[in-house]
Amino acid sequence: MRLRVLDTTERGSDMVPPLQQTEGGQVPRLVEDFFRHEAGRLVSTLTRLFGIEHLDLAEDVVQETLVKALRLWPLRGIPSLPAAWITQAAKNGVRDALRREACLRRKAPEVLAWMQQNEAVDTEAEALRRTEALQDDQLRMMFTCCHPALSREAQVALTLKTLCGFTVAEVASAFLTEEATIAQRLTRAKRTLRQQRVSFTVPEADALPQRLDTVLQVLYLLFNEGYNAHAGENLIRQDLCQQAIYLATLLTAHPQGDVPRAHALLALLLFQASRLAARLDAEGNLLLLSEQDRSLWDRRMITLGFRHFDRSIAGDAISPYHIEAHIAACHAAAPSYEETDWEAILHDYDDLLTLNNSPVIALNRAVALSMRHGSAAGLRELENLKALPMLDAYHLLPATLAALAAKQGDRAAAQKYYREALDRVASEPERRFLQRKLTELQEGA
Amino acid sequence: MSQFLLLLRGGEYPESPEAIQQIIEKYVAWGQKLRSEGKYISADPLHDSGKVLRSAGTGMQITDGPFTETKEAVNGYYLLNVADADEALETAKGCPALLYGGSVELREIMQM
Repeated sequence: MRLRVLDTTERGSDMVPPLQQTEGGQVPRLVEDFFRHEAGRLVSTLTRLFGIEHLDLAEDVVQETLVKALRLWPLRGIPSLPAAWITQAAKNGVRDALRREACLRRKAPEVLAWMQQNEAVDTEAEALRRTEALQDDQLRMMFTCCHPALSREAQVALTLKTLCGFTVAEVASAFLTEEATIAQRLTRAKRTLRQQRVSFTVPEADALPQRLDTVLQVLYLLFNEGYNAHAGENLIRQDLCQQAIYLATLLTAHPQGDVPRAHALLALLLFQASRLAARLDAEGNLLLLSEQDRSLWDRRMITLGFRHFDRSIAGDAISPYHIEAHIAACHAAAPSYEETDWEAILHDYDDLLTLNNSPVIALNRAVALSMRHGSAAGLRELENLKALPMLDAYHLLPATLAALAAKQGDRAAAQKYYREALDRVASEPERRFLQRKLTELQEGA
Repeated sequence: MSQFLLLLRGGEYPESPEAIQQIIEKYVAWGQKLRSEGKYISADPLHDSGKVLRSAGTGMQITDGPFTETKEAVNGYYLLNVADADEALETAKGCPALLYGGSVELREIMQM
C-alpha cells in the first residue's frame, strides 16, 4: 500500500515541499507532515466559521480529531483518503461542539453549511475552488497571527501552534523555553485578539504591505530558528525550516502574497534548506560551506529556489531578502567554494550593510572579502569589528578570526581564537565543530 | 480454521512526533501482514470509559468504568482467523502492543 497523502490535498506539485518517505517507504511522515498540515488547514477553516474569539474551541476540535486518527488508524489501517477521513471526523467533532457549546449557536448556519458540503469533488473547477478556499483560510490565519497587537514572540508561537500544528510542548522545545511560558504566551495572545476584536481577514490594501512585512519577518525567524539549531540535533527544529518553507509557499501562491519580496524570501529559504543534508557529517558534526559535499545539495529545492528568485526580480524595490537570496543563489550555482562568485557576494554584503548596518552582516562581509582579496584583507576587516560591543559574546567572530589566521599559517593565533570561540558558544554541534578545528591545529603543529 | 480474539490492555506510548510515527508504522505493518496472510477479520480501539451493568438482588447496578485501573482495562481488540491455537499464539507474539509494555490476552472464539 503506497499512500498518496499530500496528493489528496489538491496542491500543485511545485507548491509542496518534498514529502519525505520513511525508511520502508510505506507509511508517509504522518505526524510531521500530514497531521501538521491538516491541523493548520482545519484550525484555519474552523476559526473562520467559529470566529477568532473561539480559536480555542477550533483547536480543541482539531486536536480531538487527530487523537481519534492516532487511535483508530493503527488498528484499522490507514484510510485510502486520509485527508477526507480527517475532514469527516472533524465534522463529527464540530457537530458535537455545536450541541455542547451555546456560544456557537449564532454561527450555526455557516457551520452547518460547511458540514453539509460534500467531500467528494467531481469537477476540477470545484476542486480548485475548494483548494483556494482552504488557502484563503490559512492566509487569514497567517495574517491574524501576525497582528501588530501581538509581540513578535507571540506572533511566532501562535503561527506554530495554529498553522503548523505544533503542540505547546513542541513550540517550547523549538524555542528552548518552558512549556508554561509558551502556554501563557499563547493564552495572552488569544485574549488580545479577542479583546481587540481582531477580524479574521487578510488586511485591506493600505494595511497589507506592512502586515505582509511582519508575516515575512516571522517566517524568516521561524526558518532561522530551525536552521541555526543545526539539523539532526533536534528533529522538531529541523521541522521549523520545513514549516517556514511551507507557509512561504502558501503565501506566494496567493494573490495577496504574490509579491517580489515574498518570492525573494522563499527563494532564500529554499536555497538554504537545500544544504540541510550536507551540513552534517556521518558523526553529526557540523560542516562549513567549504567542507560540504555539494552533490548532497537538494537539486530540486535549488531549482525551485531559482524559479522563485526569477519571480522576485519583477518589482523595482530591493528588499534584504532579495540580497540574501542572491548570495544564497551564488553559492547554489557555484561548482566549489573557491569557484564561487565572491565578487558578487561582496557587493551583496555591501548592499546589505547600507540597508542594515549590523555587525553580523559585517562579519559575513569580511569572510567574502577574504575570499576575494585574501585572508590578510579579511583579517584587517575583522580586527576593526573586535571593538564592537555587540559582538562581544558572538562566537563566530573569534571563530572566523581563527579560520583566517589558520589560513595565513598563524597557528598560535588560530588556536587562541578557537579557544576564545569555545568560551562563548552555546550549541552542542558548534562546540564540537570548534573543538574539532582546535584539535586539528594542535595535531598539525 | 479457528477464530481468536486478542484483547489489548495497557501500554505506554511516547508522544513525540517521531515516536508516534514509529508506533503507527509498527501497527500498520503488522496489520498489513495479518491481511496478506488472510488472518485479519477486524480490529478496533475502545474508548477509555464505559459502564458496567450487574444484577444486584432484584434490580440492576450500573457503575461507570473504567472498572479497574486504566492499565488493566481493555483498550482495543483484534479478531483473527488462524489455523489453530499454536498459530494464534505465534501470531499474537507479533502484536506491537507488546513492544510498548501492553499485554495481549488471547481467547479462542467458541465454535459449534
